[in-house]
Amino acid sequence: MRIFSTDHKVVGVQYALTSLTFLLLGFLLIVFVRWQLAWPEAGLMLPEFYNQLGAMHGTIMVFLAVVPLAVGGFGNYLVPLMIGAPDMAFPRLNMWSYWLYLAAGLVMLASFFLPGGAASSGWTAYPPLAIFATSGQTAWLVAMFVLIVSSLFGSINIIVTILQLRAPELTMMKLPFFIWSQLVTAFLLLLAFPPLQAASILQLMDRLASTSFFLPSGLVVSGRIVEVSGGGSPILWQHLFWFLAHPEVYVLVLPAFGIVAEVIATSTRKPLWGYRGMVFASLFMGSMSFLVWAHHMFLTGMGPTMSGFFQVTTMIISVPSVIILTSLVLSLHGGSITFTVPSMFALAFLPMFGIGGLTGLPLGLAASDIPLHDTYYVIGHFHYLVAPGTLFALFAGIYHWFPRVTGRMLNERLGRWHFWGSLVAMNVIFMPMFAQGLAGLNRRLFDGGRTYSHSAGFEFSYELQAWAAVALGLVQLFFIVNLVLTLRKPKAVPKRETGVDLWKPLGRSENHLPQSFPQIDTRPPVYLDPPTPAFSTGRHPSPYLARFDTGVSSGNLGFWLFIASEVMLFGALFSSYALLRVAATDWPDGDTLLNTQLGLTNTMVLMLLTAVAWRAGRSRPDAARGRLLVASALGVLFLVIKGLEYSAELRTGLVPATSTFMAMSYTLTGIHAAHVFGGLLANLWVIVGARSADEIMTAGRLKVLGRYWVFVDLVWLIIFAGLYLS
Amino acid sequence: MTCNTERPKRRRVSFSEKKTPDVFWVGMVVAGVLGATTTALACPVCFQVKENATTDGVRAAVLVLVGVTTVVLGAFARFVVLFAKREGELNREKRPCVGVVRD
Repeated sequence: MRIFSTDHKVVGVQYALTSLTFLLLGFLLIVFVRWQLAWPEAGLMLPEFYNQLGAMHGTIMVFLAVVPLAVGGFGNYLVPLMIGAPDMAFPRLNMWSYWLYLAAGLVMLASFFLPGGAASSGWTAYPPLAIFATSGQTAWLVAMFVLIVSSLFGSINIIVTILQLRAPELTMMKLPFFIWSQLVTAFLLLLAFPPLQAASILQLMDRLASTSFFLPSGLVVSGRIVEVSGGGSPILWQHLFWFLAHPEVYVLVLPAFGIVAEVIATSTRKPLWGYRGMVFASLFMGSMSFLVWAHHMFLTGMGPTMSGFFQVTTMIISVPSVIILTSLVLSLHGGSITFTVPSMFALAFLPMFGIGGLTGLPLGLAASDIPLHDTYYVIGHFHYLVAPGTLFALFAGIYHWFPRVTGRMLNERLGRWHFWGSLVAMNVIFMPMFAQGLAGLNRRLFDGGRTYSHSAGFEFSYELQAWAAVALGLVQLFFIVNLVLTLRKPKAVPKRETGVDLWKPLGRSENHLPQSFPQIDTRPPVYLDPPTPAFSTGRHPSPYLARFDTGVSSGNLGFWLFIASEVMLFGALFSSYALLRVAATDWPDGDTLLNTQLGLTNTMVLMLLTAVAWRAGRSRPDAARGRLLVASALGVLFLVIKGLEYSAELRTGLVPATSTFMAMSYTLTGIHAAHVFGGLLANLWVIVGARSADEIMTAGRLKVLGRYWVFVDLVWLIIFAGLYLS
Repeated sequence: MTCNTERPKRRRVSFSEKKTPDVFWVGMVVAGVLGATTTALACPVCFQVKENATTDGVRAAVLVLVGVTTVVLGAFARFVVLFAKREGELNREKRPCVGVVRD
């Protein structure tokens, strides 16, 4: 097995192994936390280290363990197999997705060894605390940025693969529910992550360039007024962070639904109940998840109108979850259930997720959220969703598909011990949290709130939770030993349990392909013009030929998805601009601070560049190369003029830290300039690559490039209007 | 061997045949909920009934982000509709499907 492989199965296994390692590390961190909470007087750790453990536990579990396992591991390995695709649509991008994820994870872990340790401002990284935190927070932000790029590569790949590389007969409503769950999840990752990327850039600016995006005027830290320009708002971070972090909940949950649906269909030996309803519910849930984020911000005092809107949307989004969960429960009815380890994990998922979901409803209503905010109730709620919820589903998937991946069956007895131990231990840990939260115990206190009278009587529950955490760790040894012992055995899976039809014969859903994937080599040509033996040769179809049913090529679809994520990135930045500008007591006129003439010149240059690049996309390849060179020269001119403008501003003392306006100006134009630079590299790549690529490939790339420059131009026009002409 | 992709047609109840259109009831519920939100669901003490510049800023930021998201989701919805139409048309054509095991 090559380490730098583009094979989706290898990448899937790499994702799975790495994320399981992070899962173990993230869990070990919290065992120390639980021990500290149980016996704070023992002096196991300093408060600063406690904060680091808490922040890194959340970050590692959500961003480095559960999501990569659910999407990177299961998605990469199973999606192409289940839809009859030769591989992922963009295998090289897929490989890069994994290696960027690993790099981000290593940066995150390495931050423990920085002076001052790792990030300590919670996994939510709320400012102003995060702005004044040690250098670990910078590492956290850089790692998150890289992780988001990795996630972008992965999600584009999954969407394009499902839509473009399906077997021809496999229409959308014949897709397994698992594939639907991966598709919706990939959309969420694609659109929800860019605002956090924008937020990370802004927080990096606050930390490294002394800007004040998140720092209000007159902020007092340790009894002294902080010397910054001010004018920012900590609420801006919450606004951007939760735009990602709420859809992230559905990113955690949807793949779990998909896995549980497959396991239940198999273990009950009957099709899923309400497949269509589940599909539409997951689509609705995915769309609505972008409209509920501010229910995490009720405490910020955002006004009754906003609060009312988000309460309504939050209540609405609970409906599709209930539809899916109900369908899964009803799928059990009349089934001949086999209680194997995967089915036990899947069955346990249903009530555990139910508890997590129902306890979330009071948090979606402002009146009940305010007293419960930041208490252990919240921790209990989301851990029921993610730990005995999503994690149980992931374990179900591992036990279910392990024979498909390795050709070996995991030991059933060890699996049962693993299951029962995990079920009991997790409930002992998380159930008391509801009582603790209702009593008002705050989640962030390193002594468990011992100094407050309302913590009296909870000492025993803290100790019980600590022992349960240790027990949970020990129980995982059954799983690890099972993996190791099984992998050392020779391959011994019965014949019917090998091959891609492993999960089909016993209980395939009506939406699965029958017994194996169709014999696609006898099909008529899959792609329109010109006919190509795409699937029959086992090679990748050309990315610039339109598929017969979607009417779009993989390359174009990938490009539009990329642009969608870019729109979200700039949308988040413009949203930040709107908040800071509307909330500002004094917002300067742009033309008094910025050089409007240079800005106007750059606008002309960029428009000319776009026209030339667009024309290149409609020219013969040899003529196009010349036009691209002209376009590249104009791009360089744009950057030179921008550099001159920066230089003049810096000479007059207008640095990013001068005011929120200048900070916004440097950030927006800087990110835009990075896009111009990226476009220039792409120009170069197409010019050089045209020698080796075929005509269709070059023509496709040229068209995509032309559209990219149009996008860059449009963004510039908005920036120009918002900054220079305002 | 040909694929018979046509399904038996279900009788659809036309809009005019229904006594009370679903849209009417949905509209009533939505109007009721939206109308009640500011007064019934929010406590003035907790929510700063006197809104300030920051509140206005948050509202503007939320509107921008909701607007951008709606545009992007709308674009995807348009793609899905076109795709579904195309897939439906293709399914209606009787195409040879040699070598494919059907349900």
